[in-house]
Amino acid sequence: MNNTGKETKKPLRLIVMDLDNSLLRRDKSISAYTQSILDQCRTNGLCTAFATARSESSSKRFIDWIQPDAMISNGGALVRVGDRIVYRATMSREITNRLLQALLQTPGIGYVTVDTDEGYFVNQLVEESTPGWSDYLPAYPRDFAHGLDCDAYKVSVQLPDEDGARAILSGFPMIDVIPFYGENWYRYAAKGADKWDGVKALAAHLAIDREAVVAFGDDYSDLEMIKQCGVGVAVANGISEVKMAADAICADCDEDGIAHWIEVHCL
Amino acid sequence: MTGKTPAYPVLPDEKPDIRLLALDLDDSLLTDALVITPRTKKAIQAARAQGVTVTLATGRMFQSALPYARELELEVPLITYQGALVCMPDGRIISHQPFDRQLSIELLEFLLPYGYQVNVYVKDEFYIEKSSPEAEVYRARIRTNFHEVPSLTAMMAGGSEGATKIAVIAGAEQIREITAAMQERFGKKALAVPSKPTFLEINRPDTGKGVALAVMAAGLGIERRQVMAIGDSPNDLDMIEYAGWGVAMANGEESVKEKARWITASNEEEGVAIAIELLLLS
Repeated sequence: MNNTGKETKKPLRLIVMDLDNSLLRRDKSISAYTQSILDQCRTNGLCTAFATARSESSSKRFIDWIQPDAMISNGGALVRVGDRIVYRATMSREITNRLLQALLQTPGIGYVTVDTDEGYFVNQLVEESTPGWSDYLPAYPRDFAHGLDCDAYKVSVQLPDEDGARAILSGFPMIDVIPFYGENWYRYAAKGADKWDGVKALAAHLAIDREAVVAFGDDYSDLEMIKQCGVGVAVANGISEVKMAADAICADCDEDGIAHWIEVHCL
Repeated sequence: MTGKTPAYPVLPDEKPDIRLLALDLDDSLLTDALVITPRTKKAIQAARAQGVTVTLATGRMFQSALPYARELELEVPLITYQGALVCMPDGRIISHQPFDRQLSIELLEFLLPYGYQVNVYVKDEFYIEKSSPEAEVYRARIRTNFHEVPSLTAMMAGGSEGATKIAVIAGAEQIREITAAMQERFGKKALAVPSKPTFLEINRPDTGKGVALAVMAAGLGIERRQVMAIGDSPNDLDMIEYAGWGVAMANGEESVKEKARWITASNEEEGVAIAIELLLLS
């Protein structure tokens, strides 16, 4: 929604939700109440979609749980409705490998992870018991010095600071980087692979006007879709920039903020 | 002046539809003599009679902003300490976002060796190690007393809470230097923005007049385009950019005027009253 003025009162037809710290509570659970609200959306003919930085496979248990109509994954690089791929914006094999070489030489580099159709690859062995990784396994350890054979949806890495993460882009005009707030993780993906790009493609596919889309999120990766969709809603635990860009602020992710907002405004 | 942002007496093309108005205090709502003029008070009351929610958004302490809130008979949350403390006039805390104690200590250990005047605010009180002409001028301006302690770091280490904010008062060149040094040392762990060229405000990074105002608007069901914010200093930039109608004072910094949607008269010429009369009142 633009802030110069015209109020838009089109009914909402597509609900797009970020997962971590938005739809999901901090402990990664979804409450029964939230589930029932999303079920009601389906009954009422409202389309629901996840828009997550996660890959499809690391989102699997949430997809099975909620069964959204559409899936925007890898931060917007892949959009699927059922079995059908509606949008796909990858980094070519050549660019991915060049990026990996540049990252491996960056001082302070930690984990380097790559999401591809062939699997999820990491530069280090990840023990099954490592906290926070369970949704992301299997993670195949690879020596990236030898390069990968396929194109990539995204490369997510651990780096000590944002300046270092951005400096690499000077050699890659076709790539963007988004930080994860409060962590030292950064996500590299092709330009045109933002969540907003995914939402645009999905809305077009469903013949839904962008004014009829509501997007929920908390972090940098949600900023553009929150600014551009008909209604952008920040969760109360979101970062300042997202709250200031949003049309509305719903309750905290641990308080079913998204579900309550949907119940009041959409059902 | 940029020539791009329309300025009083030229009116903007559109007439705003405002439901929430946030006013900075020093050099905006207040004259140089630190008063709200009768005309300004009248304009504010007229706006409220039309259903506009009016609040203060200041870097000042709550107890220093309170007399003005009382004078205007405001009964809404006040944004103080640049949003680190949002409080009802009766003292009920809506939100308080201080630094954690460990980071407060690290900040002090970094700042104190410079030898400049450092003020530490815990809850709604302010503490210094040693008075100085700068501290005296500041105390007189905000009409709030400080507590002198032998060691700010020891006080913080022995206390139970971190700082609501930390301020440094020094010459303009020194403030520029220390702002840059803060950025390098603390990066995004602290928000260091001068509210005046000689006054550096250090806040928790998720605070700010802008986000506090966004949260207030959202809570009231008011859209961004229906929010007006009036200010003059760099610590008003975020709310001026957030608000659908960001208004800069004529006496404001260039960086603030550039981001505003309209520039009103100066605080000495009752710019806030003029903005309300011309843009808000029907």
